[in-house]
Amino acid sequence: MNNATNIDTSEWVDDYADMLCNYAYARVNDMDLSKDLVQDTFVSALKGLDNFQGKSTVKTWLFSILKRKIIDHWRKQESRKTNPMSFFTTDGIIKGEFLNNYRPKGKLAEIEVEIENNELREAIGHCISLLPSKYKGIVVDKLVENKESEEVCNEHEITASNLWVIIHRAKLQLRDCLEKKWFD
Amino acid sequence: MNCEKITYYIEKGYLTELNLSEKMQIRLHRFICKGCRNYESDSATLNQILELLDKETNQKPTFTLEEKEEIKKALKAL
Repeated sequence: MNNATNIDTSEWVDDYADMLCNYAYARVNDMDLSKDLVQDTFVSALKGLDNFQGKSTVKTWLFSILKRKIIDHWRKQESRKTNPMSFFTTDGIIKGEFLNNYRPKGKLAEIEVEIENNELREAIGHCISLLPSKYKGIVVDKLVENKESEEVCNEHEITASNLWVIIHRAKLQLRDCLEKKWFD
Repeated sequence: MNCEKITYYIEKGYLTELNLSEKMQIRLHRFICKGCRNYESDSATLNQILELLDKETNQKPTFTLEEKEEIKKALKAL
């Protein structure tokens, strides 16, 4: 496997295509886009084979490429400003309407959180997809993958207090979105 | 309207150790505000729900066999 010339890319597809695609889908909430990102990942992996050198497993390596692809996608989306809604740019919660319009009723606590609950995964994936693009990577790293705060700050070049503010705003928006999506 | 600040402290508390004043403010506010009490329980559940996305079980089928063969062919041709 170390020799670039006899790497079996078909094996990558058989072993990891679906896994990678599910990972992408949970983050971008769009199956066609997820498939494109996975295909791009394989192409980049093949082209960058010299950089791999077997330092990590193939799986870890492919996932790290896919993650970069997802972040690039979010960045592009951000520069096109196609976000359907955002509390960050409108006079939402942040302007002090928290109590009047978004008073939490505590309903989310009634949800049974089970791994098999695909509907719930879909719902939260949808809500993540509505977050401002530049915060998605931060939210996913911190709240989905539970990375150390320091690592997240370094990777995204933000301070600890930036992180607290971003996570707070994202959680307000996610809570509100999920309540609407799940109970309405 | 303290709720914005209190929910901020609640979230900050997941990320770092709060100082005494911050903890006291949450504690006092909790008595008088049902919205923020609800927010706290919602927030905890939301954390669990977000972590679901990182679990690898119960994968959905994504690519069809034909699609996989096409990708394999394309990669070989590169």
